[in-house]
Amino acid sequence: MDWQHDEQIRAYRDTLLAALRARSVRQDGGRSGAFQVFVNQESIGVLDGSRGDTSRISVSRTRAIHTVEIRSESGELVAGVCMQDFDRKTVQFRAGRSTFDISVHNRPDAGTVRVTLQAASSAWARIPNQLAAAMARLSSSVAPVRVPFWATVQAGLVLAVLFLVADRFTDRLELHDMTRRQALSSATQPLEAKLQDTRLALARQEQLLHQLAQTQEETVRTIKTQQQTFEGLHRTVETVVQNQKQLGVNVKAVRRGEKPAGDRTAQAVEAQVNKVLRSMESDRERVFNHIFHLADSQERIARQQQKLERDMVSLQNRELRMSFEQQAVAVAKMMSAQEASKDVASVEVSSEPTVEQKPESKVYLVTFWVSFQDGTSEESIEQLIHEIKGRKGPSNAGWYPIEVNLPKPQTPDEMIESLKKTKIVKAITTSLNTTPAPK
Amino acid sequence: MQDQPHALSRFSVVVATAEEFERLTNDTLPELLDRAAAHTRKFLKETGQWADDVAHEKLALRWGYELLERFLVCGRLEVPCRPFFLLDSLAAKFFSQPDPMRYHRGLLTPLGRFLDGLASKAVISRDALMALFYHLYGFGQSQVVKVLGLDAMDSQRIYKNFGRWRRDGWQRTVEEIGLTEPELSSLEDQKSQDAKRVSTDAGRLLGEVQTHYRKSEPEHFPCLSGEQWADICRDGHSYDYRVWHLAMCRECLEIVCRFRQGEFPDIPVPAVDLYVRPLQKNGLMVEAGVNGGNGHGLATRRANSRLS
Repeated sequence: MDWQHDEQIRAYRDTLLAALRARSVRQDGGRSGAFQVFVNQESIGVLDGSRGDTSRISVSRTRAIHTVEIRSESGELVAGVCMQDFDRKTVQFRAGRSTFDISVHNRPDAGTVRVTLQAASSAWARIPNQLAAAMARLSSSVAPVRVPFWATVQAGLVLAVLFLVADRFTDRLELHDMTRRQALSSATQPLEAKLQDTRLALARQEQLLHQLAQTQEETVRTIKTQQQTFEGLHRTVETVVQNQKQLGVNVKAVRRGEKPAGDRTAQAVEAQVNKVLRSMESDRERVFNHIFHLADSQERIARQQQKLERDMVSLQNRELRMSFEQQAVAVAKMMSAQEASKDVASVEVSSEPTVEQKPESKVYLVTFWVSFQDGTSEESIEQLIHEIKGRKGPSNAGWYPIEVNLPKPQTPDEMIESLKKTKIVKAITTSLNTTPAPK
Repeated sequence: MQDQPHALSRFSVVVATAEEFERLTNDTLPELLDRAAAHTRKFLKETGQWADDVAHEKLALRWGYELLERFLVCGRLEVPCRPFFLLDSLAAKFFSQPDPMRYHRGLLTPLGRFLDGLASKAVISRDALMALFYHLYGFGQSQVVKVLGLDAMDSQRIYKNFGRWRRDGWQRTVEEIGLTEPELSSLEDQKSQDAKRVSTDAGRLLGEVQTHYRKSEPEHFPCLSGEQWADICRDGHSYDYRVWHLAMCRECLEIVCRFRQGEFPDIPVPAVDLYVRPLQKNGLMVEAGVNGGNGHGLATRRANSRLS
């Protein structure tokens, strides 16, 4: 960059330095009017200092607040605070007649700011503003005028005092003129006339003094009324504050689960009720635990039952298999005996179901020969055959061939043994070659 | 070589009270400004936004000045502290934000710097905010009052805003931006020679500038539809919304002006028409524009004659 550019930059730097120095000088001057409040360089509202009372702005943000700035309408930085995360500051700035209270609190979840402007303008300074406001409202005629009561009283007082001062001033001028006129006419007017004029002047002065006294009395009465009103207001505020404090105490007590002092009986009853409730609560918890354990046991028992059922089924299957094997072995023995004797087969035991047998019935066809007692009627023989669900063939030398469908659990030997016990049966044989001796 | 330890000791000096802080900062104001500008320069270099020219140097100084202004107010509360280190921490915090400052090549020209500086000032100054209506569209006080729909009390504020701006606000702002008298004259000459081109350029840059600086509005101030603006204008509520947003948003201002034309036919539809210097006290141009003629073109002609 050439020297011209350097010169430009130097001039600009000097201008900025001068502006900074002028700023510190301006800071001491009085300021009023509106002030804009910025939080994190974002406008949050305006505080009006021209009204001469307290105005306040509060705002909270979900993020931390890093800067709070208050600027005048011309953009001048009047007050400001820089914050760290998780920080808390309460500061006060004075700008002319106004005082700013800035309170900032950065918490982990949010940041809050409260800015209060205390405009310390006097009552005299407020009156023109209020009158201007009233006139503006009147001229706009948008809404009915509502001038505050105190402003009206103050304005009335001011006008009364101004009137009195002006009146006194004009009276003095008139007295002065009158004295001068009297001096001028003293040489020409008689003494009686002079006295008359003096009396008149004194009477007028007396009348004015009387008016002044009345006005003063009125003013004093107004001030007393104001004082009484203020006292009443003060008392009301105190009562409200006390009520608020009491309310705060009560709220705290309620939060702690306590009642205010002085109600011992209620406290005792409440303590007992609490105790009973606590015991009921513990009982309820115990019952609940029992129910829980019962349910658990029930579930465990159901599981065991299922397991037992499964075991029983498997055990039955095993026993059936074993009995079937035993029967198969016995049949095999009988078959081998038949083959060895080459006799007519008499006992047929098949592990496979016969054609006429239903697969699910699992019955076996057994054939044997029976000799009945002498004199046994055919009816008795038929009844027995019916009982054992068998079929009878034609008799051969007193031996009847009988075929029986034997259920699986019952072995042929058992069947034969049970038949032997019957009264009408004399003898039973599985083969006619091994004919037993009839009884 | 002997000065270096002295300078170092000066940088690390500790102040214990607010009075000491003020005394030290008054004594070391040039060093503090240079240090704040150096931080800006470093940030621009590190983000690839730097060039060795006057415009960039002025930008660094301007942002350094704004940093230093905040430091002088906030630093008083941080005592005891080392002021130079405190300035460093403030600068670091400022530049660690996502979008700390508006950088655009077009904003480094005199026209861009004028628009950027004006909008930047409008964010923090109500006087500048109201003056935007005049500098960008040629609106006078009475037109601003009508467009914003203000009552008698707030109308007085507008006149005060224009008055303060005319008295010293504009001058101070132009000095802070770093615009020289030849640059201002050059802008006016350009406008008198080719007003359409200047308006086009200004309108293009204005979109950039307004979009950036609108972020300083309260976060619940988005652009509204025609119906919503009509509701606001009809009922007269949302005062801050009207004042803030309409000054910073050309599109919404157009909507509102079209709506207001039903009540005030003398309000023109805003077109970008740049005015470099503040509105003069007699306000002849504005009155002529409002009370008759085409408003905008007539205003331009009279303003030029008056400002020259």
